[in-house]
Amino acid sequence: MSEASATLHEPFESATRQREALTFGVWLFLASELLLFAGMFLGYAVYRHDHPSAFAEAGRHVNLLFGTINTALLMTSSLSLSVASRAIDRDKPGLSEIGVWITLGLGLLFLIVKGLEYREDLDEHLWPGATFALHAPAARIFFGFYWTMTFVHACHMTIGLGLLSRLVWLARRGRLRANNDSVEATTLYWHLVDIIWALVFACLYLVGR
Amino acid sequence: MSLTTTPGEFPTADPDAKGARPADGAPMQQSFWTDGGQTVWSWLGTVDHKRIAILYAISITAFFFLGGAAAALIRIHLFTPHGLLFSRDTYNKLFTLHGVIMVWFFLVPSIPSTLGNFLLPLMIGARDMAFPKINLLSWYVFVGGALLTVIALLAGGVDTGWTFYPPFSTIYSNSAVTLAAVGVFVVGFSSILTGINFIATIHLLRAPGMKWFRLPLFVWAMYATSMVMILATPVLSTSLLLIIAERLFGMPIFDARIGGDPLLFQHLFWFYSHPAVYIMILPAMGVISEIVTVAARRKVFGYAFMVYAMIAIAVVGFMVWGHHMFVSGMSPYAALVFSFLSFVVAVPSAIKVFNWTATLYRGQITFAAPMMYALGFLGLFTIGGLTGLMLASVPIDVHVTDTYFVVAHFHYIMVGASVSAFFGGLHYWWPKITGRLYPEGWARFAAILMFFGFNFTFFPQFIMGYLGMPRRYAEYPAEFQLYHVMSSTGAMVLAVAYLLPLFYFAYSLRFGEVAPANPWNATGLEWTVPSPPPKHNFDQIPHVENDPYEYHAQGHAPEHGKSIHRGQGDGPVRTPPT
Repeated sequence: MSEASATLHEPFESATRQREALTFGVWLFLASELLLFAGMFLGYAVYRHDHPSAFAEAGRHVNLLFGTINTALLMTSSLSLSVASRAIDRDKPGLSEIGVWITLGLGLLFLIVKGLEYREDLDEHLWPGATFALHAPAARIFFGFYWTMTFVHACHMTIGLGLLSRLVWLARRGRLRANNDSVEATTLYWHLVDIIWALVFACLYLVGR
Repeated sequence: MSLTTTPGEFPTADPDAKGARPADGAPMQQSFWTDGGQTVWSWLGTVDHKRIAILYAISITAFFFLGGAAAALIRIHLFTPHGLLFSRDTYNKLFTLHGVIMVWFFLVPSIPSTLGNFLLPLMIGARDMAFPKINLLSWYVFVGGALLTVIALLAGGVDTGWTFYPPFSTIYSNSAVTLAAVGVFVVGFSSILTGINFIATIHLLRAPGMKWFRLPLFVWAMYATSMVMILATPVLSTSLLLIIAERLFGMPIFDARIGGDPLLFQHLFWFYSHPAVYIMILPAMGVISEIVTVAARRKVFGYAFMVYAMIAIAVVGFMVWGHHMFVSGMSPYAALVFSFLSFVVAVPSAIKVFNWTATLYRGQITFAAPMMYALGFLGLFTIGGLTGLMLASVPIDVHVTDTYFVVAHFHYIMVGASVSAFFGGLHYWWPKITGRLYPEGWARFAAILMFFGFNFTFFPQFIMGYLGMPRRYAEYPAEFQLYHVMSSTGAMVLAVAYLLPLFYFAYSLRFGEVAPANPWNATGLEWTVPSPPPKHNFDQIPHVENDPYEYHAQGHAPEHGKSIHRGQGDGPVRTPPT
């Protein structure tokens, strides 16, 4: 059973139990992460209800093209990481490594596209400062959420890329199989980042178009 | 006098795991204090849960006395109606310093990070936490974030109060709000990591036979607390993040001038900060359950109810945050629901007080220092809880909102109850942690002094609050001076009571009698290992075959003074050197 091949650390005496603990711990962390974003989604929902027309107008100014490209990139990256996770459990470290590399590349691409989008947004004066382009006052609130939520999400992406880099490093040294529980933990985290993006995308880019 | 144990007292059937050698008494026996190195780095790089607990204990003690110094200055200032020492601005910064440090850097981590970290693996029969490295990381995150905030509080000062309400915190305050909020944000991650570690440990590292309903109530308390930490803390992170975004980057999320809603912040903030009260009190309830049973030599009354009550407090505690906002402009229907739910959350708390009292009934009660603290807890928690019910009813709350009545109420819960329990727990497990007995007479004196000092400080605040004295003012009308002088005098007594243990604990480390493995004759796995415990806790993982608190057979409480042999009737059993 490949599940038991991971190296044992204190205080565990069985690899299965150690893996259970790690997976369980990651799930608990994801629950916590969900609530972190839930606060922002709640605020967004309240304000959307308070200022429907300003939010609809502001929503038409975000860049749907970049958002869609990024959604596609991130969904695909989840696929490749799922393949990597299944592959390591089926004792195919080579395939798993390829999956991790693809995921890492797609994640980086996401951040690059996001950067390009931020530049466009700034050119269009969508930063809610002195030269803000839109007239409805509450549109500033919309963009307050836009910048905050996408930035917090990008921070999570960056942490995820760090975790993926660690997997690549382990793979290069031939230690991916001994750390198959890390692959699973990273996959779980990456999926959360992915799901959050799907919600952010729906709320900020799609509603009101 | 020898240490006498009744059969079945140790919930272990494994003779090897019982290698406690109670009368060993060798002063420099191998323990986690010596094993693993004595260098500074061996401590700063340790992954041993016991050493991490000590690191936490040292840091939160520092924060406790820093926050306490601020409180003392506040009380000295308020001796006279015009204030003795500070300008209004400085006064604002001082009470913010006191609140922020005490809530986030002392009360929230106090019992879980120190006693919890130390005892949880010992109590469930594990060698360490599920994620030892994460455990150490959480300490570094805690210290890093807390230092950021303390720098902000001391160097620039923050004048918003610990609640960071916008629009003052976002638009108007000219103080170091951003840095302070960043620090608290960072410390939040430490709470979350600790919570995850505790829950994973309880789920996956219980010794064979340690079923869920054999867990000591302290472990259940850690479990319930961790749930709240994991699910509430991120919402505080969100609300602080939005404050930081607004201050630093001009994201106008709570700006009422363009249609933003400052009340939204209050909702998010109290969604964390009310459950945070339960982060502070649930661990205290766990400690008290351990102390009351051993001091009365009784099974805890209604074990299952105690467990369900804690879970109920943790769950219902998430649905009562609105009672902090009755006068903020909520709809009366929302106020009605929050008021009702706040009454509901009092029910499990009352069940617990009832069960502790019932545990004492027909008990062979001894009044060692931990029990003095526990009895103090019972009284103060009951007063704090009952005044909480008064505040949960909208008409009274409207009358006393933002007065000293509220201040007195939450200090009864958070200081009277929580801190008393923390000190009780410290005394109770001191022999286990350090291998030394503390001086019993001094400890009892400190416990009594603390009880009186506390009531002396805060009971007058109930009265002046009810008479209309508002909180957070640097000056007050002369008619309130009598109450303020009483309160300030009491605070000086309280300060002495808090300083005393520092001295006699330090004394006992060097000169105290060497503690046996089980000085209280208590049940529980932590008492089956030597004091202080070895690095790996158990030579062999124990098998648990008894329910917790087996101080007597079911339905047969021993008659007074017959079948129980205590050391000297009270205090830890002193073992003569052999």
